Order: sequence, then C-alpha cells, then structure tokens
Amino acid sequence: MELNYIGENLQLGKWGHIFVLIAFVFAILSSVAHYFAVEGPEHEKESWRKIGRRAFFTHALAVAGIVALLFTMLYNHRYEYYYVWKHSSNVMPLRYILSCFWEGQEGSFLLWTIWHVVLGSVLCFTAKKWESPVMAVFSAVQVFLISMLLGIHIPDGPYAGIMIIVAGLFILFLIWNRLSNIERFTIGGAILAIGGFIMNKNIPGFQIGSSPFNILTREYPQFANELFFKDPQYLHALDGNGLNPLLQNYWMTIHPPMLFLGFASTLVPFTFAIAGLWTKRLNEWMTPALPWIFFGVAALGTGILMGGAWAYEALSFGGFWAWDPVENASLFPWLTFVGAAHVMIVQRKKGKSSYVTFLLTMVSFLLVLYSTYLTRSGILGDTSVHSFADGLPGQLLIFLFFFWWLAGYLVIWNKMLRIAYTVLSLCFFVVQFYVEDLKVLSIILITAYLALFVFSYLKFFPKEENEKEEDVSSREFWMFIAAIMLLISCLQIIIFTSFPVINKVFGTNLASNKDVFESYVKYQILFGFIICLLMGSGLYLKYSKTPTKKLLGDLALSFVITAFISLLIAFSYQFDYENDPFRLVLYWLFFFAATFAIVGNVGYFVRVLKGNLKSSGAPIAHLGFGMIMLGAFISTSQSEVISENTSKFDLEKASDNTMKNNENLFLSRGDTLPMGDYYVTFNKIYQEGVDLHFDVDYLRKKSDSTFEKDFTLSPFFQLNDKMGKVPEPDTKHYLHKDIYTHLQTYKVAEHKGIKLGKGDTVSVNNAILYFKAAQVSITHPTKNDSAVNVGAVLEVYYPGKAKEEFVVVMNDVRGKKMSSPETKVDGLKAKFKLVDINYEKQYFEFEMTDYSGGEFIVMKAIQFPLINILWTGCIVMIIGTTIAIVHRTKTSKKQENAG
Amino acid sequence: MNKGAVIGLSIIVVSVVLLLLALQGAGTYSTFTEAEQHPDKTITIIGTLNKEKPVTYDPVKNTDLTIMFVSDKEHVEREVYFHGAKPRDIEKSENITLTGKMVKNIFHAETILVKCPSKYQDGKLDPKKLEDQQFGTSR
Repeated sequence: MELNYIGENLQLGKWGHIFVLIAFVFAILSSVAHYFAVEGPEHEKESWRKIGRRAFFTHALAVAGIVALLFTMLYNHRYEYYYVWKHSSNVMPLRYILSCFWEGQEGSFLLWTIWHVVLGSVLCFTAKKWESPVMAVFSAVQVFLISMLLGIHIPDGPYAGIMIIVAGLFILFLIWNRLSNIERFTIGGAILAIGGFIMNKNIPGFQIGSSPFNILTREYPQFANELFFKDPQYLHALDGNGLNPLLQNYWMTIHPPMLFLGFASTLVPFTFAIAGLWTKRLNEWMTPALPWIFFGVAALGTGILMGGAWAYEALSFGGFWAWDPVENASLFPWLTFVGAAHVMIVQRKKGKSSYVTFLLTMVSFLLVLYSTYLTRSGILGDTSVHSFADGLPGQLLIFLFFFWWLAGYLVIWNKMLRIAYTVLSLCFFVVQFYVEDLKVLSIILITAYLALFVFSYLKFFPKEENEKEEDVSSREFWMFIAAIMLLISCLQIIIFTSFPVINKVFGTNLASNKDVFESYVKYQILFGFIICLLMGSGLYLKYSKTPTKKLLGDLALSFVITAFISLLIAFSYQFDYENDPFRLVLYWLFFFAATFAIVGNVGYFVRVLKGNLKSSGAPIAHLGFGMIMLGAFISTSQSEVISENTSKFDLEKASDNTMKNNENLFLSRGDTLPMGDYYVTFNKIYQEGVDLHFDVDYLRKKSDSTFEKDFTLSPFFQLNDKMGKVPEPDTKHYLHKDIYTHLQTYKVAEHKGIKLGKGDTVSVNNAILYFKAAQVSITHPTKNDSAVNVGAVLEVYYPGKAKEEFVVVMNDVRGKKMSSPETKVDGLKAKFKLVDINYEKQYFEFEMTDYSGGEFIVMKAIQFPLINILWTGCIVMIIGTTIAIVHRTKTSKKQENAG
Repeated sequence: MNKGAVIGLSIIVVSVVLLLLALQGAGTYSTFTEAEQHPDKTITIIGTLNKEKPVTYDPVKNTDLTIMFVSDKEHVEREVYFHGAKPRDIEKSENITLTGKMVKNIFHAETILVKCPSKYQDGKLDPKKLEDQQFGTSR
C-alpha cells in the first residue's frame, strides 16, 4: 500500500533530477559542438561554435538551478531528502548551512562543478580563438563531473556492455570523417567486440553517480521498512543527522570553496595545453595559459594553507600540517603547478614550448584527479584520519584514466604509436576483468607506457631546431632545475602517500612509517634546502647569460647577511634536535637556506627593483614562500609540549628509552600546577550552547610568591549526543609564539535528583542521608513582599563517624523570587539544593551535585614558536602572486594586440 | 644526447631511487607473532579491538596510558599499552592501526589510528541507530 506522507515537498527533488539531466546532456552537447567547431568543415565551424557556447550556458544555468534547489532544501530543513537529513539538523546555526552543502560527496562534486562553470564562462569570453578547442575539453570534464550526480541505477545484466557500445559508436560517429574505410571497420568492429564481450559477462548492477535529490523513504529501502516511516506524519518528528562537529568551524565554511577553486583553476591551463597539442599550436597556448597558472598557484596555495589553519585551530593534531595523506594529496598538484609556472615563464620568453611545459601543466590537473581518487574512494582507510568513506571508486577511476589517456594520446606525436597506445590501454581495460592478480600486468603496462613515451618523445615530438645548450649562468637553466626539484619533491610525497594504491595494484603489504620525519621531513628538508637556495639567488641571474662578477657580488652580500643572522641565532638559541646529529645538520642547512631565500628576495626588491611594486611579483612571492618555509620549519621542529608531566613515574626509564614521557597534564579543579614557564589552574566550567567550556588560567608567579593571571584559554568539548564528545582546542596568540591547549578528557560533577518524604532515608556516597524535618518561616508577614521560606533539615550518618546536620533552604516558595542556594556538605563531597516541593504526595525534590568522583581535566599544551612568520608569509605570497597575475595579464594582452 | 633526455632520464632514476628508499623504509603490516620474534623492531599492526574486554584509561594514575586488548589479522590477541590519552570513540572502532614494539608479551604502541564506521560520511547506515536517534529526539 502506498502511504500518503504529509508535509513532503517532492517537487524540489523532481526539478533537481531534471536539472542534473539537463546539465549532463548539455555538457555532452557543448563538448561535441566545440569539437566540431575545431574539426568540422570550415563553413560549419562558426555555427558549431555558437551551438557549443549556447549549450555551455544552458549547462551553466542548469548547474545554477541544482545549486539553488539544494540550498533551498537545506535552508528549509527538508529532511525528506536523504542529503539534507544526513548533513544538517535543526539545532545547527544558519551559518553552517554552507558547510552542510559541501560536506557530502555529492555536494563537494557540485562545488567543484560550480567553479568549473564560473571559470568556463570567463573562458568563453576571454579565450577568443582558443574558445572551441578549450571548451571542448572543458565540457568533457563537466560531463564526467555531472555524471557523479546522476544517481542512475543500472541493473544486472548486459547493460554495461550496451552502454559501452552506444558510447563507442557515438564517438566513432564524431570522428567518422577523419577516418578511412578500413579504420571505420576496425574501430566499429572493436567497439562491438568489446561491448558484446562485456554484455556476455553479466556485470552486476551498479550505480552511476549519486544524486543529492534522493528521497529518504523511497530510495533507501533499508529505511522504508522501518516502523518510524510508516507514520505519514514522520516529518514532524524527524531531525537531521547533523554536521560533523569538527566541520562546524568558520574555516570550514571558506576552506573548501578556496581549495576547490584551486583545483578548478588547474583545469584551465590543462585545456590550453591539450588545445595546443590538438590544434598543433605548440607555442602560442602558453600566452593565455600563464595568467591562469599564476591564479591557480595562488588559489590552490591559499586553499591548502586555509586547510592548515583549520587543522591548527579546530583539530587535535597539534599543528597545522601533519603529513596526513589527505593533506599531501592537495599538495601534489600545487607543487607541479608551481613547477609548470616557472618552466612556462622561461619557455614563453624563448617563444618556444617544450615537452616539460606540457608535462607539468597537464600533470597538475591529472594529479587533482588522482588526489580526488585517493581521498574520495576510501582507499586511504587505514592510513588517514580523515579519509572519506567508500564512494564512487569505479567512476572516479574511469574519470582519471580517460584524461590520463587523452593527455598521453596527444603528446605521442605519431599516429601509429597513438594507435598502439590506445589499443594497449583498451586491452588493459578488458583484461583486468579477467585477471585476479594485477601485479605482472601492471608492471608490463607501466614499462610499455614508459618505453612508448620516451621513444615517441625522442623520435617524433617536435623539438627546437639546432637547440643551443643553455648557459650555466643563465636564469632559465636554474629555473628549469627548480621546476625539476619541485617535481621530484612531489614524486617523493606521491610515492610515500600512495602505499595503499601500490598495495592494491602490486599485491604488496606495505605500511607507511608513522614517523613523519622518517617518511617525509628528512627528504623534503633536502629538497627544500635546494629550492630555497635557488629562490634566494635565482632573480639575480639574467636570461641567457649573467656577468659572473656582478652575480658573485650580489650573492656574496646575501650570503654574508644570512651568515650573520645564522651566527646570531647560533649564539643565542639551541635547536631542539632530539639528540640526533643528522637532524641538527639538516635543521641548520634548512634554516640557512630559508633565511637566504628571504634575504635574497628582500635585497632584490630593495636594491635592484628599488621598491618598484609593479614588476616585483616574483621577489614578493618568493619572499612569502621563504617565510612560509622558515615559519613552518621553526614552528614545527621547535614546537615544545609544555604539559609534560614529570611528577608521574618516568616512562622513559621504565621502557628503556623507547617511550616518550607523558605529554598530558592531569589538573584537578581548583589545583594549581607548574607547567613550562607557567602555572595553570582551572575553576570555571560553563556551557555555551552545546559546548562545555573549561577556563584554564595561565598564571605567573610573582617575586612575592603570589600568582598573577597572565591569560585564560577556554578549550571546550562539543557535547553532541549523536557523535559523542568532540574536543576543540584554544590557542593564545603572541607575536612570537602561540600557546595551544587541548583537552583529552574531563570529569565533572554529576547531578542527581533525589526525592525524599519526611522520615525517608537514602544511601549517598557510602553514607546515609535522612530527612529529619521540614521548617517553615515567613518573612515580612504583614507587608506586600511577604514570602514563605521552607527549609529541609537533613542528617548524614557516616560509617564510624559522627553524624552531621544541615539545612537546604528554598526561599519564597511559589513566589516570584523563588530561589534555593546550594548547601555544600564537605563530608559527602556534594552540594544540595531544593528543586520542587510536592504537597500532594508530600515529598521534597533535591538536586545533588556529586563531586566525589573528582573534577578534573587532562590537557595537552604545546608552544609553537614564531608561527606568525608562516601566516605572514602566506599573505605576502598571495600579494606577490596577485601582482604577478596583474603583470602577466597586462603583458599577454599587449602581446595579443601586437601579434 | 640532448638536455631533455638527460633530465627525463634523471627524473626516472631519481624516482626509482625514491621508490627503493620508500620500500626500504616502509614496514609491512605485520602480526603480534612477528613482533614477538623481533622485539627491537618497530612494527605496524592492523587489528580489531576486543570490545568484550574493557579499555582502561585512568588519568588519575597515568594520563598517558591506555590499556586494551587487540587481536591481529591472524586472530592472535595481545594486551596493548598505548602511551597516550585514550583515543576518542575507540570503543566504536572498526579497526585499529598500531605502531610500536613488543616488550614481554605486551605490545607498547607509540601511535594509534582509530578507524570508525563514520556516522556522518558513510553511505551505509544502520537503520536501528536511525530509529533510536529519531525516536530519541521526537520524545
């Protein structure tokens, strides 16, 4: 029987599904039309371009519609929709609606799609002669992204094969005119063979994408059978599941949009690179792509650092960067993107592109896809604290492989090799259905691919004629080295983060070393050392050749200043190097290089550019990055756990130095304990909304042995009945250091209700409580403000000790000024007050606050020195990159006008 | 040879070296039995918490000691001393990744990673829990 549910609004969802379909279909149309605008007959190109542009804008409007609908649903708490129910709740403040929007898989893909639509719309108007090839690739990416929101269920049986045949024949139809008859037959036959073969395999049913418009009761059968949903009025009682408490932080409202803007901005240079290869304009594509690369570097960098700021403020990692796989994944594309920016500056100066420019530009976007796969497919499960659970691994893989294939196809500059490459890829795709153990297959495939790429590059890829070796004193040579260093640094992080993927593909059983120094820091400090030295000296180099004398003078000045600063530090400060001489050497090398980068760029800005802001994008951005390196290095390597609790037994001795000593401090309410340079105490506990705050006072001891309060921190626990107690730290910011305080656990007094009639007894904390008598008194009996006050006389009988009598009073019973002050009973370790007097049943209701179990917190405090250098560096770097974008846009406009 | 090829080759060489270093530095997911055989080696274990036995954390005595019982993939159960405050939601954990050493039949873990069936991100939901929640709030 179909139930008629009351109060549901299913229209929104229907429109939502329709908009998703429109967005999907028009993305395909846009891609195809733009394709024909490039490949079609000359006289049709213009009309194809117009169709493509209209299709893209229809797609954009449909995406806007999806966003508006989802937002309306969230805003109105429409819990009949699964997505809304799962990610929001009634108690949640309005400002977190945005966070709910992108908390789930569907929402975050939608966020990504929105940025693509925005950037794509800008491109439509600015790309000019590049519009068609660029938008064809752009729309193809949109097809894959929107498919993540489709939510179509494909049943068991031959349907997967049929889909492959339809899609294959569709693509064949697109390229029909470019093929000879034999090719048409071969490709058509191959499509039918592969499709028919997969049809025969009876692929189990699967889901394409997951729609945010699914209805809780209809599309999730596991709920539909629940008794609760048999009630037509269920919506009245239903509250949402709520937002992950850790995400209820203002950084979480701005970090994901920024990060996804960064991800999205890697697509633009990617499409230009593809378009350059496709239309055989190997050099021109860099001019329009370059400002976008700078924009992407700034946006993605800001997004990543905002994530760090969020981790620092709201998470219990104790730091802004933990080398967690999810964090690393967002770093991959940034590193290659920065490399791409540098190579491109050089190549554009020469007017010639190179293989490496294509490689780095395209790999940046492909790494965005890879990191999406890593974080969204659930593969990181055992290695990351915040891996998002199983989602759409298969679909993401196809997304990833398709664009890897496309990029690879285009850089192989030879028709036969392209066919070989495609056939190889297709074979792998088919064979993997059959083979259990992918190890051998993967090794063969990777080797074949590498051989193919190297061979095609050496033999076919167009290279500069009579290429001159670059001078070792030229700027371009060293910029190139810097880009390669960035790529290697990125490779190191990729390999160490990809253990779960390596395990899956090669059947190995590798476990990453949990010690981040061993797995990342020791390598990255070396790469960072080289990169920082290059940053500090690179700008003094001239293009093509630098006069040696001038250069040595400039570098010597920077070197002397850096050495002077280093010596100053060496005499006044001892690095904490955990008794590992190797570490100490690395620390000093890195400190020197980072300082050198800062000094060099400040020097360049002041002495060479004479403070001219317009053309100083590079030194300012480099200065910022140098500061980030220095700040990150000092605040992380020199952070100090000051809550070390040595009063307990010495763990280091007990465990033969294998274990660290305690890092947590046990603090009872009212106690004052020494901690680092401070004394800490906590007294005040208060609740604000769902947050239970503990005010920890940091005190200084004055010369007369009295304490003086320095500052108060208020770390808290979010009491979330659905998700447990979630701690959030609090941090005191000084100019030169931060003091971070985080709670591990707490215990507070328990509140109990006790009902006693006269003469009743009850057992409390190993003693007997006896209600002896009730007293009544009246104040001002004759006046208007007369009040009746009641007192309950109670006796406590302690085992083996004298009894104690006390009175709990309730003033102005039933009056306006009714109040019951707490009576403290020291022997019981409890406080009492009267809550209610029931005259009919003749009992008194007390509230007992039992603090016999103790009231305490276990806290961890970490001091981060000089972390403000890091944050300042972020801002400086963003300013520098912005100046560079403005500068590059102006010069690329000039070039276009000139050319 | 031209410069591009040199650089291309050096990238390949460096990545192979890195890969080898990675393999050498990485441990493998291991078992308690192996930890007993190599008492001086730091070992990574994925296991499941025995939820029938208590997880003991008494901050009054020691703020940095959590004692629990974990069984590894071969279903060998050992007492585990985690030297840190009790990780949140450990009772709800699906599996636990531990790194540490075996000392006298007790596994001393330096790091712990608790993997929970996440209530807010998981696609699969427990209808029972759903009902508890909903009735809980409606009452």
